[in-house]
Amino acid sequence: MRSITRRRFVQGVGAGAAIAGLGTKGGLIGTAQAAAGQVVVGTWGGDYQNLMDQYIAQPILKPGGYEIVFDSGLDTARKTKLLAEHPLPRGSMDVVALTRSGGYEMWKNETLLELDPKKIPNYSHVLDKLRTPYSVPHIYTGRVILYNPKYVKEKPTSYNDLWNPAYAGKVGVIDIQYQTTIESAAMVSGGSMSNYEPGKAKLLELKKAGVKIYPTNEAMASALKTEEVWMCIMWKARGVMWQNAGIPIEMANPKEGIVLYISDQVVAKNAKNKDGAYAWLNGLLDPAAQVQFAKNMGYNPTVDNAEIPADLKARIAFPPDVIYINQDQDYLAKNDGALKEWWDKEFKA
Amino acid sequence: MVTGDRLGERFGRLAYGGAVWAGFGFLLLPILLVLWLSFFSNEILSLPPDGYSLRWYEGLLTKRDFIDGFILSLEVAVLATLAGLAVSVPASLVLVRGRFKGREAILNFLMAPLIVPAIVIGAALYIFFIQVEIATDIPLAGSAPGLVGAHVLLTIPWCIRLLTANLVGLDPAIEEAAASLGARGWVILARVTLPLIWPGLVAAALFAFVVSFGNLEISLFLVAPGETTLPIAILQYLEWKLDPTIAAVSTLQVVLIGAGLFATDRVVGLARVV
Repeated sequence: MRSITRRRFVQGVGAGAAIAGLGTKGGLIGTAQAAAGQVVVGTWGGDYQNLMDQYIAQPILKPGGYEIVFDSGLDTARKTKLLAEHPLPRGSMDVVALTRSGGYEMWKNETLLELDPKKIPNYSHVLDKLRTPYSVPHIYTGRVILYNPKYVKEKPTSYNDLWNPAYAGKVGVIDIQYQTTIESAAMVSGGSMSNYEPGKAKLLELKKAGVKIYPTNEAMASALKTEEVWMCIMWKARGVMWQNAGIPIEMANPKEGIVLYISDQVVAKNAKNKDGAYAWLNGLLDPAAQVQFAKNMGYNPTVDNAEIPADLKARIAFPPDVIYINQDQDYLAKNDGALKEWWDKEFKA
Repeated sequence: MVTGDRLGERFGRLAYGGAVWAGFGFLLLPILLVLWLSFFSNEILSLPPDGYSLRWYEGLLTKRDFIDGFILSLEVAVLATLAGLAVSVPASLVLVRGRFKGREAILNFLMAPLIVPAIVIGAALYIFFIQVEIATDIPLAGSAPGLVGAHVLLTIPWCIRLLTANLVGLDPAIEEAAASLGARGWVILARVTLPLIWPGLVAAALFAFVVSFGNLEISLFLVAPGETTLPIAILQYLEWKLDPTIAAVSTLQVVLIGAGLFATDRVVGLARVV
């Protein structure tokens, strides 16, 4: 696990000798191990990484001789790394976890390998709606309406219900979710995935009605808990997580459709260990591992052969008749800056 | 301080005391809140708390990320502090004692990392390291020297500022006296100058350590795969969980740094240091 650090350390310039006495696990230098089957996975850390370690790296990859090293951090840092390391013959990461938009952006920048599904036996089970030529979808969820049934007596059916005057002043939005918020408003005001413009006027109406703006998801969770907010839009998996933490909310599917949130994993074009990367991607799609992510994080499996217990399925899955919507990544890539500017200058002002 | 017994003077004293205590309160309140939150039993922070519990502290013992992150942060901070001092002590001596062209420019150059946002330093250094690797095949990004070197940039301005402030107050006549009695350069430095600016050295080391230990932005780009620092581990934990574990980690960090300050106070006297 530590060999890359050691190798890089020894090769690097500087005060090697001065530090040599400090080798402890978790420190600057650790025990060197065989690097033969090492796969570096750049990912979000915390629970997501721990689950991947527990249910994929240890039980599935390790017996095959692969050693998984996680490079945990923010996805913006991973994107920067992919772009900066692109000219190098060998990059620091083999596999990279990114959001669907992040993956698309990196694909357009030609930093990613086009995947060969034949090298991923489990790929044949991947749901059609989630496929791309460059990524393996690991987990997915969709955007829904969260509401507190104590105050919102009638289950919402549309994003329009956020504009119901009965809930004026009790609807919250999240600053960092500006893109999806404008998008949701556009979906009920004549816009589309390729045109968020009508959503702006619609959101200004919500502002007039006294919408509450919270900086982060966490702040929204607290506001729902204290019942300061009765209704908001959020990814369903996050809603499940919040229910588990004791927040009094229910979830409703907007009839406008379920916009998908997909967490992808991609392979860097200059990955050191491409065979290992393929083995890892196959492990991500392992049905038993997929079930664990559903159980622990509330995300849906991306394969059709994962058996989810019925009670869990009822909480995390979507009914068969919902319309799934994929975001228009080209539109977002072109307009994200302008949307953010409008949000900061007009909506939040 | 306002003295006297007239109404206006009494009011002045009251206002002064009020302002001082309000200032202390403003500084201490966030720390006290974090301390309080770390004992909440509920997962989602809300008031009033559902109850009190030590479970977030117990949970920390099993969280490898935090323990590994703490060790790496500690190592990096110690090395960056030592390296920062090694650069700053001679630089400060020259900058304070010397009178030469470009002195101001060098001083400003050494202070420059303070005015550049840390995230910019992190990203820029990372891209620079990659360019070095492309040109020379020496992999600096994700290496220990790369990470420590970047943190040294954070520690230098603090060391320079505190050491120069101390050196300015040092009467050169003492060093001249030592020289007139036959002491040479190194002896003067080791036995006269450094002991006299000892409080400044301690303060510089203290500030440098704290700045490096708490840094998130630079480490984000430069830490090696499989490694994590404490601030990164905290940020990553927050990605998926909202519970008071973070408050418990922060409390322990405050306690540790507080213990460091207390120890410093016993050794050199904090009032003399800062």
